[in-house]
Amino acid sequence: MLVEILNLLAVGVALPISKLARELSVSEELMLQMLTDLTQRGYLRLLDTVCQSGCSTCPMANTHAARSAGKTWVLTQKGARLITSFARTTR
Amino acid sequence: MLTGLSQHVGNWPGKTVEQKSGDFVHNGRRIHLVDLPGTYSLTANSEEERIARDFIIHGHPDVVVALVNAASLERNLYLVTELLALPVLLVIGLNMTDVAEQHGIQVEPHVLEAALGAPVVPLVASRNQGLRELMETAEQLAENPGVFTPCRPEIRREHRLVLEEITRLIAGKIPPPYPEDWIALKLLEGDAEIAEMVRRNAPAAWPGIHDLLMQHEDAYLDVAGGRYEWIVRMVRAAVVQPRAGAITLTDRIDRIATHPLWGLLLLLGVFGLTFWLTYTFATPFVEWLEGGLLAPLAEVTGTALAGAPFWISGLVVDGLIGGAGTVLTFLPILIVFFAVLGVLEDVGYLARAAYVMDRFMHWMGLHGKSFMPLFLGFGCNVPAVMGARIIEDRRARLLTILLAPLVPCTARLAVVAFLTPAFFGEAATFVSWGLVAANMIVLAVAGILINRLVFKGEHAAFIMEMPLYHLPNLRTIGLFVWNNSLSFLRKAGTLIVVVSALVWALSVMPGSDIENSLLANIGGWLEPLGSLFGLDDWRLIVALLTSFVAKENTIATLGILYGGGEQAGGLAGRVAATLTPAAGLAFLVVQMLFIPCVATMAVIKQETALWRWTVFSLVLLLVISLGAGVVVYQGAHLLGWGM
Repeated sequence: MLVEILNLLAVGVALPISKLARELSVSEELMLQMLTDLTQRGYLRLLDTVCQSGCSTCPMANTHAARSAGKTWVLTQKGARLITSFARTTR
Repeated sequence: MLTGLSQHVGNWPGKTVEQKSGDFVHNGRRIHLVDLPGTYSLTANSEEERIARDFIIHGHPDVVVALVNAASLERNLYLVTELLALPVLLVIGLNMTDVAEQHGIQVEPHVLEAALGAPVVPLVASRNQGLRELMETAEQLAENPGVFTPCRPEIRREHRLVLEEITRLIAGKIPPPYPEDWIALKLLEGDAEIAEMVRRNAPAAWPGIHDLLMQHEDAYLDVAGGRYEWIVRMVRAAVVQPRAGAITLTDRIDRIATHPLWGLLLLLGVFGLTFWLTYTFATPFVEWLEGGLLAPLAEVTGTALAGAPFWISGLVVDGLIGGAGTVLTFLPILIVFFAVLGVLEDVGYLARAAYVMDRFMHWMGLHGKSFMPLFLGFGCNVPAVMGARIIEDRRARLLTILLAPLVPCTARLAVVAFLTPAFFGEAATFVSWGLVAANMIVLAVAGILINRLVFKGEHAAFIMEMPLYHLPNLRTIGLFVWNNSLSFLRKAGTLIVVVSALVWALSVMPGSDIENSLLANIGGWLEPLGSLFGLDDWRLIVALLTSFVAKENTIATLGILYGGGEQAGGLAGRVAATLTPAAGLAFLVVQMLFIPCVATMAVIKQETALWRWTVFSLVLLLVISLGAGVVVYQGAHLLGWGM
């Protein structure tokens, strides 16, 4: 099931958790758990989308729209390597 | 509760984690109960996990009771999958069944028991319900272990063979009481602690094991993936009614909000609505602040300082009130912007906007990972540039940094919102909307070129957590608006005041005639360039230049150079009167695409670590903005519009 998540990411577009959960017929709660697992193993990386510094001179420092996007994960190089190797094996 | 007063509380040997144990008599038999630390797995990532698994392996318990939360069954079952890999007798205590029912989750214990192949006892431990049954079940299992026939997660054949090979290699070399098949499984999962133990105890076999593990680095995905599939099977079998309700409503709205076409149209509509709301609600307040507050203030102050030296009255009335004071008048514009942004954020829409935009940007050939930092740019370009750190590839990161200033920040949008109604009247909403769209088109074209030339069409995906839609919380939005407005006021009271004073000083030196001032000389040098896009007035060029310090300075400078609040007609109106519509549009286009503020440039230098790229960014944006201004003005000239 974890392999399937990485393979779905190979398509290369943004995926909401709800859609990913529907594709794999699991709950969003379990999907979050699996994403955490893949993150701990270095296949995904949890993005820090909240600005931490550098906004001292910006009056809009609090206007970070992505705060509402919740968590966002991206594929790491390790994850991308694995997807490539799966693709080679499938071929 | 089970052990009553005979509970012993201490620490686990050599650890800071609390250990609780106790004895009690059940059915005439003395039972020793050890409460292990709460954990979701046995992977030795934390002290709690290590203590739990060490005790289960070394403590030889007659029965292990796993207390799982029925309201969060999936999350809790992962621990069960790991316990099933150990040679222990297991009873599942299905706790918090009352909470699960309150959430609409009905777990059937008998079905779960049949699916698991292990006894399951429903409980409400907080109310002492089911504890006696749990103890009896555990006792019966200890007396009759033959009934324990658990259904364990499966591993693909390819890795099963590897597992068998590792088990063969470590056979007889692992100190008791570690089960060899469990050790082999943990090695396959990449457990560092177990790997170290095997390396120490089986040095001759280790190179072979290590090679096997290296060849099957992805085995963990198979082992853990098999566990998750097992959890899904168990839940499907035993949970009658999974949660619905709010998710269904969210799904229904998302069918439109995240649709490739409707979602994009909705987003464009939201942009349009934001500008319409700004002009409808904020512009009357801006006009009132200018005419009803700033003009009388300038008049009263001018009268009060009539006897003061020229540089004091000029600095206060023309420099500070006319400059920084005028910037303060667009506070209503920012309040409306922040309120709309706050509502969109609080109801959960912005995450969908990000998703729709990502898809749109893929169509345009932009890199997926670039989207998130670019989206931040609508608030402020500084975090947008810094956000590019999420992109691992250096070239991709660099190009995202170069593109980030093309996203119009709220300060740029506020300047446009201040000037557009005076320039274009009723059509202001459409013009503003078109200016944002134009920025996006420029960004997309640049993105396409960059993607073709550098990324070679590579696309990277990301996963987003979409919050559920909910009604906006007025307090949250109020705080959001308050914090941002306060930041703006702080900036207006510091940076913009300083720049206003400087601009005023340059506009009166060496004499009091503005047309012969140092500023007029600077602007005059650049007038031939400005005339290419219809800006024959050096004051507009100087206003653009001062926006380099902070975007709002465009308004402060115009306020000083076109006369402050003491004059009738409103600043925007006075500026509009000196420009043709084509030149006004060209000015707004240049303002939207112009080099970013100095804070953004400083961050570009910090993130690229090279002056070369900072200068390149500056030149690139100058060429794009001035080029776009020329195209708009000369295009209008050719079409015979707005001249």
